[in-house]
Amino acid sequence: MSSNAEPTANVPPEQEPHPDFAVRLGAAQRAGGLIVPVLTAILAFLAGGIVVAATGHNPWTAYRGIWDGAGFNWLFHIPWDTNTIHIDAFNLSQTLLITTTLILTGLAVAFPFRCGLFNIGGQGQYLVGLVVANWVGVDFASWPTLPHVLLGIGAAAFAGAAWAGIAGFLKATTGAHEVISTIMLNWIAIWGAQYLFGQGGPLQNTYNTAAPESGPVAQSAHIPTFWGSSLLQGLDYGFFVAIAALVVFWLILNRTTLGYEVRAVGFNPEAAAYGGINVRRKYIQAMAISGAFAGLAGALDMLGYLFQFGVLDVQASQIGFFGIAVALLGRNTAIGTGLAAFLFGGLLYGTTRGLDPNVFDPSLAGNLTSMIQGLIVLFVGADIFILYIWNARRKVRRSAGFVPDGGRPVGMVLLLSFFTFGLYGIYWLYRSFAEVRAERDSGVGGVGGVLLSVIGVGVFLLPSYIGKMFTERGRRPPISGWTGCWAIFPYLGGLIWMAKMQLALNEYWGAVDVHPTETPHVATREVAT
Amino acid sequence: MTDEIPTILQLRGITKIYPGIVADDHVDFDLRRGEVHALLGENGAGKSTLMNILYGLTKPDEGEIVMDGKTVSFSSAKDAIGAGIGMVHQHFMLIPVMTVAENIVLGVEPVRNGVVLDERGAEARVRELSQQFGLAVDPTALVENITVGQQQRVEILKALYRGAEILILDEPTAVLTPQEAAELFEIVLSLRADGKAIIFISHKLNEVLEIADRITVLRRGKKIDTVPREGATEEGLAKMMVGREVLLRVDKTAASPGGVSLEVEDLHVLDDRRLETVRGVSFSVHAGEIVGIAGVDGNGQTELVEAITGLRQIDSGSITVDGHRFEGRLDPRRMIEAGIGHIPEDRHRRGLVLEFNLAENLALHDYTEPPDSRHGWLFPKRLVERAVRLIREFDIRGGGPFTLAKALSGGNQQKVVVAREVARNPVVLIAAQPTRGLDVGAIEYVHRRLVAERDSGHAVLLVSLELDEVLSLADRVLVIYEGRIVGEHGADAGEEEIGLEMLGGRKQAVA
Amino acid sequence: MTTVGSFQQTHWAFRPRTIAVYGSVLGLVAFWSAIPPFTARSPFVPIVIGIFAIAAGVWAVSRGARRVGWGAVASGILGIGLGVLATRSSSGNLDTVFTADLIAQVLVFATPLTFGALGGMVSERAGVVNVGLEGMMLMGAFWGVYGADKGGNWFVGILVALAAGGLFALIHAYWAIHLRGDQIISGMAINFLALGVTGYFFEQLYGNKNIPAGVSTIPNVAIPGIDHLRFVGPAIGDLNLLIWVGIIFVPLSYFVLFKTPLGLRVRACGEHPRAADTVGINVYATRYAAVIVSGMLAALGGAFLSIGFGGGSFTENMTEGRGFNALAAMIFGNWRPFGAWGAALLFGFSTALAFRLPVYSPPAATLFQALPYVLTLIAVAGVIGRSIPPKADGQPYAKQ
Repeated sequence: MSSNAEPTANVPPEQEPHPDFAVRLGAAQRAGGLIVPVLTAILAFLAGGIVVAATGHNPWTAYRGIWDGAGFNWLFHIPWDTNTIHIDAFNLSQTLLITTTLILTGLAVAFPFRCGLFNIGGQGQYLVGLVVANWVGVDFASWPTLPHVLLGIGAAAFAGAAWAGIAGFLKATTGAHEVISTIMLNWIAIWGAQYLFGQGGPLQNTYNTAAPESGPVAQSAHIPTFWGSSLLQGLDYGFFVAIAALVVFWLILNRTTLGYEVRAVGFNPEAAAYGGINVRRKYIQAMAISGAFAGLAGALDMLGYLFQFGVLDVQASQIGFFGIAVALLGRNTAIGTGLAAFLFGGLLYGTTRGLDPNVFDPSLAGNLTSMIQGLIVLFVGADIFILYIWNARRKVRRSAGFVPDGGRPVGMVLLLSFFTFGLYGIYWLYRSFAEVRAERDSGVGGVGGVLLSVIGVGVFLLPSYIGKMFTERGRRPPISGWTGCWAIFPYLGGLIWMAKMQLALNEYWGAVDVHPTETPHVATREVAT
Repeated sequence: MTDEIPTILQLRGITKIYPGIVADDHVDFDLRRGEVHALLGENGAGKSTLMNILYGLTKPDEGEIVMDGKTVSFSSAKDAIGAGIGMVHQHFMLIPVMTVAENIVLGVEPVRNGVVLDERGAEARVRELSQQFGLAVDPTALVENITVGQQQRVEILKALYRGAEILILDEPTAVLTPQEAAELFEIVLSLRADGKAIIFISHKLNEVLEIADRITVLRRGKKIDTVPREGATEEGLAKMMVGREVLLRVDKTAASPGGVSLEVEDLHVLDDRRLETVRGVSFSVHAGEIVGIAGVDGNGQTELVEAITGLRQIDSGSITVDGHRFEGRLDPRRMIEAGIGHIPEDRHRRGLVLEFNLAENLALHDYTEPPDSRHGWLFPKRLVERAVRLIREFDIRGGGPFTLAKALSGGNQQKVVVAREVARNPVVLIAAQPTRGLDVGAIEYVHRRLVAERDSGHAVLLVSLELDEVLSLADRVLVIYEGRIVGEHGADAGEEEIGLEMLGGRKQAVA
Repeated sequence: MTTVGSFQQTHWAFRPRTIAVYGSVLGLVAFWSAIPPFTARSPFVPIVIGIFAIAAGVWAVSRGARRVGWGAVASGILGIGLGVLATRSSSGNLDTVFTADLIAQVLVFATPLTFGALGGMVSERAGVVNVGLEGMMLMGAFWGVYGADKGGNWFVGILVALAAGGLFALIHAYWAIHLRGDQIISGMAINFLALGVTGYFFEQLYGNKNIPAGVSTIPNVAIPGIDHLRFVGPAIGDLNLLIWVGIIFVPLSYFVLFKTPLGLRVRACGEHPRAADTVGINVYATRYAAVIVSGMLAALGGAFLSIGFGGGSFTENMTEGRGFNALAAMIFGNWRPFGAWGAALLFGFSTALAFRLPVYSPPAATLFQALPYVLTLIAVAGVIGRSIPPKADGQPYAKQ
């Protein structure tokens, strides 16, 4: 009598489970590891390169110019060159300045995403923060430095939270779609900011009423710089605030009950409600937290290096919109958002002011950035598809002998590794990491593992993962992170290490039911008529 | 074989297998011109699947469809419509914001001057059809403004407009009031008089006996028999439908009920369409007993359970859990804290966050309190510790604390839900269709757990569509029909008596 | 759900909805009475007319026409407020702001919004959310002027614009329908991509030289007999061809969507794709077509910016949010052609005012630009009658 025997026409279309994107992307959160975002970015850069090549420029020199313009080459500079106002260093500091903002506007998209909400309003929330920070920075000039800066940051974050909270509130109370309301709030903020800074506006400067721009932030509200000169727009301590925000984001999501609730609502609002979570309240809270991140971004920009903002700047500003691409590419995770923000920070600066006009025309390059941004967002939309294949493959691998019957051929692995000078071992390294990830649904994955092993971390990581797998099954782990020490001994140590890994995995799989999703259960029972 | 009445449709050996279940197992079925042929069976007997195959919505794994002597195959509803088959789905395929006439002509619209939609023509044609078959409906009204009964007529007209000779009515009375049902029967008879062949899907004995010429009974995907109406009785059909089968014997001793743990008083609840689906239900469940609620799907069970667990607002009445009386606005968190455990009827929709791992899923109720969390800080290690313990204790296979819930088999997913609810030591455990879609082993497991829960002195309320299950587990059986409790029986109640009450055979047997 | 008891038909001209529309118009008239060419100087006039508007609105609300009724009330109140304000300012000031060519200017600003809103409506009526209107419009703007320049003819420009907008719409459609990706994400991606593509190729093809002067532009239509009339002449006597096309497209799209079998099918796909599928309508094909038409309409709006009203020019990010404004107009107009057009006119009016009000006060002028978005936010929140999208809008459809 189970009604799932008839899955089709009995489900009314409105109640049909509609896999909301947030849910699907959330599902993708743990799948695929590093490789999908990296592939996405590479694909977008390739497509951008094709456009560059098709229009008669050399994509290699163009990208090389952008790389240098972003200051990334400084990372590889000779250590004894201590000249900090070196142009590469300056470029990198500017890249990091933009990264600061992008981290926060990215988090402003990523956080509500985890709650199943798509916040397109990062730009508006950012502007609100910018405006409030400017107001505090200009008007509370008598305050001492630290309280002044803190007040500016706090007020801006609060204002951003309130602004985004409107959309959350409307969603919770009237069901208004957050995408539409955040788009509207964006433009209200854009025009509102132009009003405030514009001619006759309340926040226009007092000394030149012909110029439609704000007053300058008082010196007491400037966030001090730590890299480069404050006169040359050096990198300010706001950078660390953004890094801290990444940590806070991670902590909220993974180490607080609020984060647990937010993720539950994002994955399945009905189950969350069943679990006793107030779904509407989570919508409001998620949007408010998101707005606080964006507002913070505005404050750090205003008090960190802008100090003054005009109507034309408002019109040209796009940084909040870039948060969408940053969050999507970063898979709405803390580390991902950080890395994606760094990538886009470099791209944004390296294609504009950092770019040497003799290498590649910055006005072309700036638009290339928009194109790559668009392509990345587009591909993220499609990598649901990639992930679908990815997951399917993983499932197949898992059920249909991902591990060979009778265990893996440890001796063969060692022998072949020996004769291929370790190359075959790298393949097994990849497989081992991939397996661990498939089993635990966390970890760095195959490619990540191999990359991390190159810098030495991986050899400790893998045994520690495998050890945890045993502990989680309530069994005594045969190996732990310390087993990685074997790999310190050259060559022979590596082989012993490899043997230990493979033997431990064999032991693990031998004791565990490897086929969790197989065998259809037929519910028909014996009937005697 | 009767020679005068031609057979226009034959289904031969239709088999359809879904993962985990054989929906139809070599089913034969035939239909003659000008007859009403009822397809009778319980939920999940394979009726709807069979008709979806006939209507081209689902492909059979085996078997063939023969129409007028020729084997046909339908790859879409369009093909079936073309062959003169019309289907009225249980959930209507109507567009609420469009008019009746627009809904009927959609896809084969009459056109004026080459391009213009001929609304007048459509309305006239609809009027004509509705007069011909006695289906009173206003063609200009918006579908969202007409009653469910009228919407059903629109669906029938939609099929007739497309020239249907065979009409499939899928549980047509499920959504109707008794008066509307009576009107529907008249319509069906007039269609039959007009030479149409009608397949009438139902699980209600009385109406099948009232309307059908022949009755085919399906049980668990198999055709049991086809009988003419003459000579058929409710008792005989009920026996065929339910079957004499090996009951899943659950070892249990006699109950030793204690004090009242759950008391429901005069509860009224509305469904999503604001219709009253629970109409004054009162009962109590004592500690140390299993009370089973038996009933056919859609008689208010879902809403009743949702109300008791705080997931649906109650219209009036009260719920008392362990001495705490709840009225007015309820919310799930309060009910959880009052001591209600709930195994929901759909573990994918509600019971589990499929994208969460087992550790997170097992904490779904308790994460707010120590040791899981303190002052809003969550301690994932504690979650994992609990998961490791419960996975061992409840024998959950196929994954560890970090395995995503969606990676488990159905039985193990249900074990996760059971583990979570039972481990909290609830005052009252509400199990709604706890064995739906599970294999035999998992069913036995869940049953044993429920009995163990009873034996440890907790109250258990079991709501199930499977009468066997209720009979083999419950110490007391309540029968729900159309939102009211219509019967109460002891553990030794007769299956047929209860079956009749479930099917409305003996209305208002008990007030 | 209630049974419809009576089907008695009131003549359409006296139904609450219609009365409410009269009320909304009266509210406008209240304001209009105080500005040129009538320039009533007594506050009494707009107040009396406005009260009539409010009364009509209240009556309509009480008879169930909530949405339009509240609109009439709002219109009446605004009419009184603005009218009284106008009677108090000097008539010289009024003459500079409210001249006949304000109407022409409203139409100019409303035209891209009209095209965009109609485009969005077509797509969303078929069930595909289109937040990529901005990008498609931008594509139309740049490739329109490019086509007109290289092809030597504005008509070629329009064809190229249509192709460019249609191409981007095709990408959106492929992502939304075929890959069943998130429609908002691919829409936003279209916006970013268009910004990059148009900017890049503008720089690549024209560099610092800008679009050469003398590019063939869409001509104005001087209506003989009207163009020299007082007041009417400057208002509508000499408007750009695309403005008229936009105005014609409003009833045309209404006709296609609501009076033809095609429109019925499109709407069915947006409301209940499964129901459409069960009666043999090809949901995928319908949606593809609708999205592509949507992109082409948006591109026409863009072409109007560059080779219509823009006189053969282009700047990076030329659309400056007009696509989003069009989206707002579509929502505010409740996914209906005349509603969307009305909203486009209203939004165009607020933009036109913003361009003229600096005479009074620049800050107020800027704030007028935000008005469309505030109104739409209120409409979405359901304060004055709720904006309700097609039921299956944004939901990918999977065949069984």
